[in-house]
Amino acid sequence: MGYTLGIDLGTTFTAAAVFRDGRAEIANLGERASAVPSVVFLKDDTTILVGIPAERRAVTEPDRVAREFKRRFGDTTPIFLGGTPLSADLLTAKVLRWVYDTVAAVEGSAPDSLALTYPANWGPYKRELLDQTVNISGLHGARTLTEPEAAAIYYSTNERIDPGQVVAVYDLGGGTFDAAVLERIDDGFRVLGKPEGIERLGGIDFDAAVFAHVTGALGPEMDQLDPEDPATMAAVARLRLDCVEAKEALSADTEASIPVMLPSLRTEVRLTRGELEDKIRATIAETVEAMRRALVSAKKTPDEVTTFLLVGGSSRIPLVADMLTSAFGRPIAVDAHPKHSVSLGAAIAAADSPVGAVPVVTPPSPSVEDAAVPAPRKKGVLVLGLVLVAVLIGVGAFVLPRLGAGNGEGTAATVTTTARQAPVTQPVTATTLPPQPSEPPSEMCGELITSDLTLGEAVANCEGDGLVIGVDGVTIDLGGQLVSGAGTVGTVGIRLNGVTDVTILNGTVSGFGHGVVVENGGGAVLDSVVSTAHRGSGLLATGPDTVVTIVDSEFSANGEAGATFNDGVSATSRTSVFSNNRGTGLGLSGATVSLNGDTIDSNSGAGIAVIGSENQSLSTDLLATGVTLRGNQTGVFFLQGGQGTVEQSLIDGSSESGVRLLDAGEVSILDNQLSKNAQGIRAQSGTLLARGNVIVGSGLGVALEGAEANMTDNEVTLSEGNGFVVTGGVVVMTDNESSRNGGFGFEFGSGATVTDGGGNTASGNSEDCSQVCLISIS
Amino acid sequence: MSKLNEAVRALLAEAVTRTTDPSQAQRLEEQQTRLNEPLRVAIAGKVKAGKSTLLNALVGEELAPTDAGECTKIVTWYREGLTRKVSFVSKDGSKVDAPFERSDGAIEIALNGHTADDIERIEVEWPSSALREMTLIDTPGIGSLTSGISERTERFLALGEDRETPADAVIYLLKHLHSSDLDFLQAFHDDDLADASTVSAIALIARADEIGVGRIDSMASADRIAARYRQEPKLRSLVQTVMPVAALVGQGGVTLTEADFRALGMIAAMEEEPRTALLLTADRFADSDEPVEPSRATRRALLVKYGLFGVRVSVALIVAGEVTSAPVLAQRLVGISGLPALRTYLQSHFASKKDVLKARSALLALSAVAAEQEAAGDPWLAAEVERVQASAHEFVELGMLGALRASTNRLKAADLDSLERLFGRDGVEATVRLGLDPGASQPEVRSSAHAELGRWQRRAESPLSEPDVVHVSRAAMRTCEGILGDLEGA
Repeated sequence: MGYTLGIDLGTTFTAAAVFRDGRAEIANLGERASAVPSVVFLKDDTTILVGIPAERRAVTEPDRVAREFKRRFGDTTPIFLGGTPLSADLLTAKVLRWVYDTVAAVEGSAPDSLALTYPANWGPYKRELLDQTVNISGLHGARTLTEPEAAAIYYSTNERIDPGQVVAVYDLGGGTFDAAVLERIDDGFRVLGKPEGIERLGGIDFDAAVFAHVTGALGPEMDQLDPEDPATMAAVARLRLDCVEAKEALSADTEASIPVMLPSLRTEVRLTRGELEDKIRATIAETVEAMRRALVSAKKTPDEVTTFLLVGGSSRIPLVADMLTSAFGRPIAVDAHPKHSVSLGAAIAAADSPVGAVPVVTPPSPSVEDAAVPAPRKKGVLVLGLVLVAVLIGVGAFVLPRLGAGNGEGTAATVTTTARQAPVTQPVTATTLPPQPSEPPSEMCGELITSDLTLGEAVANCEGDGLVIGVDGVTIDLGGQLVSGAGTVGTVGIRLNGVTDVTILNGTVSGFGHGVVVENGGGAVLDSVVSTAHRGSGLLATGPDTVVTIVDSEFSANGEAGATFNDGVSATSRTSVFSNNRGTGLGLSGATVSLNGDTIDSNSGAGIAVIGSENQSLSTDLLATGVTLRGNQTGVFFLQGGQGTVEQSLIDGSSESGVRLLDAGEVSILDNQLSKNAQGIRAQSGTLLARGNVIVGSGLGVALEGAEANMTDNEVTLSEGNGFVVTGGVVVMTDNESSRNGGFGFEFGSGATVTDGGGNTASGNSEDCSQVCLISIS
Repeated sequence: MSKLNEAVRALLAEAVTRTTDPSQAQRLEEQQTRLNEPLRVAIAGKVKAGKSTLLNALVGEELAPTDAGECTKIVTWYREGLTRKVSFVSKDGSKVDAPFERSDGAIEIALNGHTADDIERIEVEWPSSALREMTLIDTPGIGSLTSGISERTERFLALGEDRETPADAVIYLLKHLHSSDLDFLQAFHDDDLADASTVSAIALIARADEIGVGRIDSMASADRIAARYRQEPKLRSLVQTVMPVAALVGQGGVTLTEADFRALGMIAAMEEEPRTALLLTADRFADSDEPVEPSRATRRALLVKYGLFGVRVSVALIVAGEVTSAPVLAQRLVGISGLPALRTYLQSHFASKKDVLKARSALLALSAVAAEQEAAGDPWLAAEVERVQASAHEFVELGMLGALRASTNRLKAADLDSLERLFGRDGVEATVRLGLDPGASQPEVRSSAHAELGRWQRRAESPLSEPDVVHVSRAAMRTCEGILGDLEGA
């Protein structure tokens, strides 16, 4: 489905929006907030992180961080990051490209057209430079327009503004204030007079006012803080964030409490809206004056202005509207998401840009890289920098075909998840199909088997099904032979429909739509069977009372999943291999599966996907014992109510999480070793018990983002970033150990309710946090 | 010469050759000339704010008439000349010599049939070392009784749409923060040169001696008021700093005579009670029958010359035995007046930064021409001016130098010192900025600049840093990056 993209590259925050079917929507760029900080971090390998990951690294490596570089746009003196000179316009190009790729990945396709915004006071030099910047980022043909124009365009889609009418745009952002007066013309808006701006006036100042209130209330304690002590600094950083939250809360509430969790002092400081307003009134008065000057410059009186349009995150502060109303006595309009008005307007404006100016994109693109930053993007960067994108691709890669649904067509059915965004449709084509048969098909092709059978020769090149089992209780010994198909969609290598107690032994099934299908209450034992190179799944089991037992078999290199268990199936597998499949190694939905000693590796999707069924009466339950999961996208992914236990297993080298919970049921992760995963365990929602796991060498050790979690006796060590990060949910932590990680041992965000069960230790973490950083534990 | 100044000169030269409009060419050529002239510092303020007194104190000679009425009705330029000469410059630019005479030192100029309305300005050329580095410009008071006068000043300083500023820097005198003062400052302020706005304006609490009706602690009160004004966000965004000055006391100190000292000594020798009574109000001091010596006439002269505060302070110093001779009293009065601090400030922030302030004036003139050309469909000059401005960190540095000490940031004295040095207080060479030996090698400069950059990067990113410290730190980073960038380019 086509869409257009609008990007607002702000001084402190960057936001994006998409427009399709006459509707503009905010595009999520970050995990916790849709807008991301306009911050970049240059990694050692010269790749670049954008947004929150960059911000996070700023604490430990401030010399590699650039922020507010929009103020430096056009400055010929470079910005030095880690000793490398980079121009502000190059950094801008990188952020721009990052936003573009992020949205394109979420949407599953490149936008039809793109518009981005710039400050109204930019002259011809910066505008020209911006055009060059757009070209550097490989997005030729993007439309550019001023920020107030975009905001006015967005407003005018909801409210009628006739040509000749005048709108005043009051844009109070994080770090800057801009005031502009615009007149509606036939094909948009034009800026009247000279827009006014106040450099260095914005939300940051209000944050500082709240912080000053807190430090004032704390008194001399604050002056005795040791700026060299990492734990203290982390606590102060936390306090600053809490101040920001308090400020935001006071836009809706009349009072807020700010938790203070300094090493030497734990208390709360109260702030009322009235107090905050007193602190910021003078500053807002300055913005009102600037607005007045903009009106004078535009030769308009307030009475001639149809609406004062409030834009920018800080314009939500109620005092702003109050003061503007009393100053100008005109209607005030403020959107529910004033931070996004500009990007939303840009997305709409992009739809008006000429067709043919469509940038071509293959996300993520190496074309952003240039002489100054020559190394190509590595996967690791994507993991940290593009978490959201990777997540969504991950969801899309769960391919759970359902029989009779035209599966195997080369396009994948997608699982509808409760993820915040629509899942991406990821085209999947089997690349491992056998060559077109030159031999004629065997006579046995499609034969209905009604008694025990041992193959003496191959059943090859079948154009339809291979073998169809017609009665209960038969044993098919493939005799080491090959049953192969012509790769025809909809065909099945061995089909069991409703027949039970069937045993299939010792042979290879290859090149059908699906390999082995067991359905409608069928029952089968697969022993030493290899099912490979099918368009769809190696094994597909579905239907109530269907029972499958797998022993020493292999399901590999299939176009979709290695094995799929749906809708009431119960299955066990022992010492089998599920590898190199284009979808998941093994997927279950509404099925009960137990694994013992299996190997699940190198699948493009998750190693095991445990997905709750739409049919509430069917539970989805996994028991995996002694399983080896290696090199999958996510090791084990529980979502949509999927539940189960993974124990005594090895989960290694996942490009995303080792174990992940998203809307999961009850999940137990016991006594496993998780090594070298991008995140060891990531729990966004669901119920998690993690006990006795050793989590080594992850990007992030354990990330708890909203689940109800009991973390006991886990050891997290040698992570690239933090050991434990808790940003949400209700968490009990007991006897965990976090050591030698690159970030904090433990980091707790204020969104989480954490109970310290005692016995948690941290040691030898990065130099800035060699001890437990219990920041807001309660 | 700064990179900025070079860039501006180059741009002016190219703009002159490109323009086809003779009037634009003329304006640009004037700017070229002006770049080589002394800095133009305007003294502005409300009526009776003490502008002429300050001007006299700065020149060290009583040139500007300072009677109690509103005397300065026409913009008057005081520039260095070989001989004493006064001329009228009329609106059409023509210049005629004007006859003048001095009465009590002050210059009295005969208008000879001219009116204030047809004279653009008076130019006084005077042999004075104080005028060598700066041309001082006396302006009519703002909020004058006749609105025409203040309009003349506003036209002179702000010039509305046409944004060429005849002054490179402004000393603004204020008695109390008043809204008309702020409007005026706002007009002088120009947003286009981000951060440049405050580089060239300072505010003085003039007539600081009259605060608290001339009480002996008046200067201390003025200091406190100045300190408070420095924190006033509105004012801080408009001027670099606020200082107290008692120009009358300073001028009195400079011109103190032995006769004055003797008269003051007589008052000091009086019994405490009658002395206190005498010094209670200006009226009593001037009109009291007692004492006979110094006479009423002498006392009146003292009052005019030193003001009530100056008299009180002098007497108190003599009574306390702190001062026993005329030279010492002269020195003390000058010190108390705040003039030396002002001179130092002007020297370090205006005169030594002439290069940058001149570039700023030229850039303003260029943008005025650029706006005309852009409106006529040629954006070349507008783009060029924007390009130069985008790299003009010099304005930020100058603003920082002015504002650092005045702000309430939590930087330690050592940090402030190295910041000021970094921003070019002692000179703009990389070695001076970094505090290195002048002969330091390029690798030494490079590693020192990297170290300094890292220091301010850490400061900028520290969660303890308040926004103003972050702002200063980023400016320091940019300075270091400028040094490193130059090395890369070299």
